[in-house]
Amino acid sequence: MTYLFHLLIMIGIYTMLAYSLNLIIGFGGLLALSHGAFYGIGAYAFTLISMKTGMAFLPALLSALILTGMIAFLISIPALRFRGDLYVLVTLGFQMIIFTVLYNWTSLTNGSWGISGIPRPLIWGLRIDSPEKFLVLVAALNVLVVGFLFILYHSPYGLSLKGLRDDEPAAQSLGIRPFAQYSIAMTIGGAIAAVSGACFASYVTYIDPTSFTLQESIFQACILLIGGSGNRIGPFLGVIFMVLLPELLRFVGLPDAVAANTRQIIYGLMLISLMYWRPQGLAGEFRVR
Amino acid sequence: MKNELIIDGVTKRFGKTVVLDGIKAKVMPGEITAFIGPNGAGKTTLFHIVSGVIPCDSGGVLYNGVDIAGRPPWKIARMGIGRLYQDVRVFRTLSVLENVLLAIMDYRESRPFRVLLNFIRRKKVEEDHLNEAMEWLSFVGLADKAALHGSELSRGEQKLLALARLLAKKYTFLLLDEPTSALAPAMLEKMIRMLDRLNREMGITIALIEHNMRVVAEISDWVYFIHEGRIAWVGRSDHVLEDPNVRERYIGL
Repeated sequence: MTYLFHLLIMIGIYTMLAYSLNLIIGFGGLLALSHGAFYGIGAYAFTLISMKTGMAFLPALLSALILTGMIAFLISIPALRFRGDLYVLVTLGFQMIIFTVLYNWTSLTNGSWGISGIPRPLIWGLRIDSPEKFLVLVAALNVLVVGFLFILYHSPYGLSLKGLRDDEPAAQSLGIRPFAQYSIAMTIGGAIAAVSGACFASYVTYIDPTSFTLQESIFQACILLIGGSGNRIGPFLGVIFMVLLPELLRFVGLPDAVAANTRQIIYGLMLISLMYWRPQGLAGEFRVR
Repeated sequence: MKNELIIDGVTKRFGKTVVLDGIKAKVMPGEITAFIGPNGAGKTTLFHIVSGVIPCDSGGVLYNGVDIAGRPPWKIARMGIGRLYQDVRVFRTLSVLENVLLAIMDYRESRPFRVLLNFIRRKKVEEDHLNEAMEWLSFVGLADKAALHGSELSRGEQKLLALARLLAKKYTFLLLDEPTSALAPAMLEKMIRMLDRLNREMGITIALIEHNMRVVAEISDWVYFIHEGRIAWVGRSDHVLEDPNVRERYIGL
């Protein structure tokens, strides 16, 4: 039962990551490989703020959200000078820089040892200390965050991002300013990744930089490529597929000696074949280039 | 003074090649001005410079007395200059209706802050614009295709859609890059009539690049003949076919 709750909490954390990244990859059409970094900045910002100042969960979460959003905005300024493959590489560069900072700024982040003993959330006097309670908290945050994003998706703002994704010169000739729309998407995306980061940190009560590597960013981008982006259902399908599939493969009943490797291979093969037959993702309308 | 475009000595080089060499031209308010010339003469480059897609090396572009050379395309669009691209550029994954909706929306309405404000006030911007969008689609004759994706339209229909977008944006000055190329004969007639209507009835000033001399003679007021990056001939459209220079270099007579 605890295992099931654990899976649901992780699905909740990744759902917020996927829907926020959907704004950038799915609507904006920019394949960002830096979402793991914002997830990490959010987790560290939340942890440090709440442990050093003793701030309660919600204010610390809000501070981490604002701080991460600001950093995401600053990163968007140089990153948005590029499009296509170059944008992918530039965001990958930022991902690596941020990981290196988290890893080496020992006085602040405690480096590779990580930070342990992160307090469980305390909301209006209620200590969120069991998986059931935590699931309720994550679900509530999901309603807020995903609801907010759905409003943006189905709005002139979402439409303008889709226009930029389809044809940037045409969108510009209708008076849409690419930098403004895109940098807002990256700022909001980064800020929401911080919510997931804060949830993760206070749920696991321990963070270290290895949770926020390039591999994490690629994993999150894969969620959208697999599920299909630019709509409301795709990211969720992607989260279910990517989070649950490795878990399901545990029950295939392979001999112990080769189980781990075989699972990885089956997992990889399934991803490849999915991309071969449905390049736009499970529920996607377009193909990310 | 309204919708007056003056191209003042625009020069553009790509590497060592001089593509535009001190082009001077004037698009008069309320008129249709055609830019003709062989392929590679620099016509599209000139339109790219006017609409801000690329900067020019020297010279200026004055719109209603304001130098707009070097401004980004979205700023120029917000000044009221619309652009139809040669390769049309409809939003391929958006529906035909959404293509026009996106044009109708003011850029202020697409700011997230405004979106949230409108959500709280329960103001549904898109629904307000729906009727207007359908009217523009009816105007160009695409109302029955509103639900299709942009990519599902034929080339000619895509041109009509791109035109509907420009009209929905209420531009008063249009740069049209080959609006009639690759159109079937019936569609061509429709497009000619429509451009004429935009100009005469709605008072839209139009600069167009055109290869079809019949279109040029029929709807345009002034003609600039561009050859190897220079203005080789300029005059009223009824005289264009009389000029031996134009006939020899362009039409091959």
